[in-house]
Amino acid sequence: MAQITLIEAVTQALAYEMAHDDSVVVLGEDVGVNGGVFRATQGLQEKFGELRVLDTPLDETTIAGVTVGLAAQGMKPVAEAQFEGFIYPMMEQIACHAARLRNRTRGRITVPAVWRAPWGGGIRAPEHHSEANEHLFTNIPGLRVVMPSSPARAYGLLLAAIRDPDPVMFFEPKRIYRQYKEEVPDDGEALPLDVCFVLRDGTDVTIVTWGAQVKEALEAADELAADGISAEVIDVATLTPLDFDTIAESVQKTGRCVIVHEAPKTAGFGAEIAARIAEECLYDLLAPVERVTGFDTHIPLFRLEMKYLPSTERVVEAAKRTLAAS
Amino acid sequence: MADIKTFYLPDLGEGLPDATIVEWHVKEGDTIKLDAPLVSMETAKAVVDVPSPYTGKVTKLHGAAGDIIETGSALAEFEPDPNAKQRAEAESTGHHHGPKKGAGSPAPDQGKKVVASDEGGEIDSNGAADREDEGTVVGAMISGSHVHVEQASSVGGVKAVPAVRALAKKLKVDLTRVKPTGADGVVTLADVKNAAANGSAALGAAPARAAVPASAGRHLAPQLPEPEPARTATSLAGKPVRTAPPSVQASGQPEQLKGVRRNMARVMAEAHANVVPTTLVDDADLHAWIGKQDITARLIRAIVAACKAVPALNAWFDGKNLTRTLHPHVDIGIAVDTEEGLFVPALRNADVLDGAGIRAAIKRLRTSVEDRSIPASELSGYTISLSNFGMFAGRYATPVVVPPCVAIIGAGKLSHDVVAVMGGIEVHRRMPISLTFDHRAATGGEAARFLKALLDDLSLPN
Repeated sequence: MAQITLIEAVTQALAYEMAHDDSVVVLGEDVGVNGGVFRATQGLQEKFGELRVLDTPLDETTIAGVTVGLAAQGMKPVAEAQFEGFIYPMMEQIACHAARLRNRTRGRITVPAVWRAPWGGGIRAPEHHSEANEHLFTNIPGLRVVMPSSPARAYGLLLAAIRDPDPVMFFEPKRIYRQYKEEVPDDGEALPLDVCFVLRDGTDVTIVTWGAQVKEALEAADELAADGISAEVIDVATLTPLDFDTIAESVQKTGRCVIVHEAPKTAGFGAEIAARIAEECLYDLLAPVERVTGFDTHIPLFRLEMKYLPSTERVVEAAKRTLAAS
Repeated sequence: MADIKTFYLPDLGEGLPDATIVEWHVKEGDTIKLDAPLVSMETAKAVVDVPSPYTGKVTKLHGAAGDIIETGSALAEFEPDPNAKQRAEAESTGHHHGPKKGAGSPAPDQGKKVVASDEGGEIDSNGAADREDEGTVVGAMISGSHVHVEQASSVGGVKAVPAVRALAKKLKVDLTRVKPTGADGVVTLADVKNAAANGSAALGAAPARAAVPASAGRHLAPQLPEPEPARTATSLAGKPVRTAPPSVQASGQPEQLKGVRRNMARVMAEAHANVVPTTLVDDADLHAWIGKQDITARLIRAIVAACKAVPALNAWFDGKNLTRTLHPHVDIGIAVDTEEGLFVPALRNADVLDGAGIRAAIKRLRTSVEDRSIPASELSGYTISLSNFGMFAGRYATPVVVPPCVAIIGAGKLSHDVVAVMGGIEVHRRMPISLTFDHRAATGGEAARFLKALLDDLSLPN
């Protein structure tokens, strides 16, 4: 079994699905000859040809529009936005067309498209290259928002995303693209969408997170365990539709919750989860829900970048605050 | 002695070939701190401040304001201060070089993983990076080759990794009832899929429920329902099919209720939630009937007679204010079954019509229901109702009283029954009658007397 990184898992999933489904095509800026800005599509054009791995002009609006058109006519396009910060010009096509066609045509036309985008900061990139804006998409009905946090989940969830009949925003946490490897069998096995993955079981506090911050959440759980605190770690994985049941079950058990995300705090997706906990688990809570997030500013350039991102220490402190409350 | 480091112009955008020096922030001979602004460079995209990769003395600047420097060419040389904190060798300034430029570009520093390496700006986190470039053309990411293994946890006595737990949840499989086949009793993805496919560990239900289609595990995206295997009386093993509880999976498609049927659903639910129904059943003896008679007309006449005898059931009841309204007239709601659902048109003034008038009125109502010409006003306002289902099948029933009415009469299928009569037994033609009334509005005695009056009228010869 191959030990591969998260980015290699993305490549592997794309290659698998392209080999098994002729309707899958990959398009984006430099995805062909160059293999993509992060090399996620490396080798695919050689293997599958220029008709299935398309180098597009530098025009995100066109990429998104072509993707909607291909998908509406029966293809399964996987479009790449080079960086999350370049996805804004795509949003009109995604929000106004991709997300609505099923509804608009009363189910006659669906858009089985995937938009991949390297997501988040932590790689010392220039401006516009480190955005975490998943919350902009979780508020658009008709879209699935998926974010893997490990090579195996990247592989399984991307396969599921491509096979899903509806548009999926697939955000890849680039900070952990190459951080570690995992054994990922290339067997075409998809993982389930719309469920949370409980990565660690605990009884004292629930840490809910997704994407790159899963790393900090697990580290925090280790540190808390050293202090005798048992933390449950939930990787949300599919943000919408949200599997709130798993979160609720956990919060009902622990009575405490720390939500960790990289995006700015205000109106981030953590706010949604906190609100749902308030609505449905208020009487189970032993402490106020804590949010450890980025700040309400643009992610800074590299010297301040790590101060912006939720750190293990901040997660540990928040968890301890919830324990101090009761 | 002096260890001179050369700094090569990193790629300041995505694959930009060169950049123009706007302004140096230092002069040769100056000392500079790590990350302090070294130079402003203008690229095709923006003016970018390039930070110093070292703390130390700037020994040489390559180029002056206005000069174009190719990406990857030497930009400045430093004599790092050996006593100052330097960025770890492995770390980058946040930018890295593009492809190496031919001969004009000095070879990069031989430090194994260099600041802004020629090969793509990787940060080697564990000193054993085994790849070159392929990382990114922008930024620098941590690259490691250590292998992470997701641990199987053993919650509830079941060992499984998160992916397996998530799949079990999605497929509604009870992990505690899945037979593990992995090493050390670990439940695998395949185990969960098999359990889902053969329905051996469905969540919640004690008996095995219908299997989730086998495809659900392999292909998680929704897809067209698999064609059902042909239904036979024997199983695949050739044995008689097991009688199982109904499938949790409907084979048909749910359809949205519309119009009359939707209204029926609402009205019935409301009635069920509000009324306190009580049903009395008995048989009307039609033995005395002379000749062929119009059953519906007789039923209506009997209801009118009963309403006269016991007005309490020919009434409306207001459960909120606890008021009842006894009606001097009898308007009978006649249940009419159609494809679209249940219609209950009102037969007005049944108490003043004769047999022929009733027959004509019913005919008119049925026609107007069938051709949908009946006005909404004709579908409400009745004082009591009749459901004559006996023409199809069924003897007794528990008809639903729809508020504000208080009573409904159900007429079942006529039959020839053996009845005991004085001095022996006879076979009589009888009609089963069910009377449901709202017990909030009428007493059992009233209902029974009403039923008696109704049966008495029906038993008359004509």
